[in-house]
Amino acid sequence: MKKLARAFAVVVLTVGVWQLVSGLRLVDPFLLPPPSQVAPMLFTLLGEGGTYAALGATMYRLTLGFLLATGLGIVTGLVMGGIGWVREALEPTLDFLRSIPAAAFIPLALVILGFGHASKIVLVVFSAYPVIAISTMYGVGNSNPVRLLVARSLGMSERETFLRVRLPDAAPFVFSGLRIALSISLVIVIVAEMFTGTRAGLGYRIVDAQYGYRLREMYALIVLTGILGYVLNLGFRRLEKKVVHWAGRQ
Amino acid sequence: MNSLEVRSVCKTYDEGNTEVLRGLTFTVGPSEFVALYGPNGCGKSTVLNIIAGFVPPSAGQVAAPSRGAGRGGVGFIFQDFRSSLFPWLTVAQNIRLGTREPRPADAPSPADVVDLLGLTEHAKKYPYQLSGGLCQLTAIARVLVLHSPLVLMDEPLSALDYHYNATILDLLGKLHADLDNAFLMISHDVDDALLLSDRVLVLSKRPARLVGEVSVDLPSPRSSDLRFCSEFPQLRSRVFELFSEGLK
Repeated sequence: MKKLARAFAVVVLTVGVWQLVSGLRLVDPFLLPPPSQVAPMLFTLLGEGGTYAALGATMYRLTLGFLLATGLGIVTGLVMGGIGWVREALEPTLDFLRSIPAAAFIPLALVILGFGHASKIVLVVFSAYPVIAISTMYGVGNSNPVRLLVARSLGMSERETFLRVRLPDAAPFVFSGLRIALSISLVIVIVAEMFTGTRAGLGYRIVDAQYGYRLREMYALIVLTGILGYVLNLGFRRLEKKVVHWAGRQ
Repeated sequence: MNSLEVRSVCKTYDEGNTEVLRGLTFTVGPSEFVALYGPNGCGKSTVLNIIAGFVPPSAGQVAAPSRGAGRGGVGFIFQDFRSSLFPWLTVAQNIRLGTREPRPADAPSPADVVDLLGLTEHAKKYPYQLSGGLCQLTAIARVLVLHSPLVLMDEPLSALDYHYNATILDLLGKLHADLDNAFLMISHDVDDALLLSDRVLVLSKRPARLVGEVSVDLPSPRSSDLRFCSEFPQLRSRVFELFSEGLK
């Protein structure tokens, strides 16, 4: 309860500072509208169907891209973690790809895949996939050595050891990779929607409001995007706590 | 027939530059409890790892029970009991982990072992919800259900507080009296070694060789109270003499 109260206090303080900075005209209120103007705008937007269409488009791209990256990343990570020569062959390339900001591929995605969903989904996959693959690989390749010896002493076969020891031991690593990848995916999908000429999605709505100097709407959409990211992260943390309940508690 | 025969076992690392074990020979008889005692870093754990098949010897032979249909092979209780349990499994699931069908006819059932070790109320808990002593009891239970002819224990009491040290020591003493498993235990605590064992084998400093052995003729079942019996100081002194000899 105390924890919740402290967190709430920080939110109130942040909003209060924002209100003061704008209200005292330390920054031009046109450029930084106070929360007392942004909040009603947010509620107005939440009453419009167009907002949900934008949210739906963003979520569709994010979900599909993230699920594809999860499937591909986990399979790649498992193979790399389990087979030494595959790891040696793929790791430098994955590390290199991970080092390139996915936003740098926006022009390429546009040229090859056009303005539709595909370019954004591929950008999400490109940004999330290496993170998931590498965290899975580390998880599988860094099983607790004592538990591996226990498996041997209990007479487990290689296959059993993989399924009953390496995989569950890797799960906390996989989940932390997925959580990081989810945050990156949201950033990328919003950025991609801003700059890939689409006419749907929260990213597009934010830049559209900016181009039209509807700055209150722009701020409200930014807050909405923040809420979306927060809820996704919170939901994922809850799922993580349920599935890998032992993580960090050994 | 002995439960374990170790003959002239040597172990070197770094292409022969680091010698850990030098011609170690000893046996463990059926239902016998033997302790290995020696200086820190002399290679006691290496001996257990070789017997368990985790690392091969550089020379010499080991004849240990192998796992087969209806046979438990070698059971191993690790010093790091928290890591040795699988945190995603409950206590009951951890205990059943190594069981195979068909089970040996005289093997105790997992439920019986859980009951025997007083783990019934903790059976549905996860290892991270247990104290260190209860984790070690779970690890012991996991080995008992295998009904292994030989149980290896790598300092099973060293990481426990006084209460659980005494509790588990008494339990091991009782298990040794009641069951027909042979036990080989590493200990750096001479009292623990004497209280539980029929024989204490004293190893020298690295490269470890057998300096000598002390037969422990104390009443059974063993318990932690026996450290106050009249023979105990003499036995302790005999072990320390051999220990000092091994340091030369």
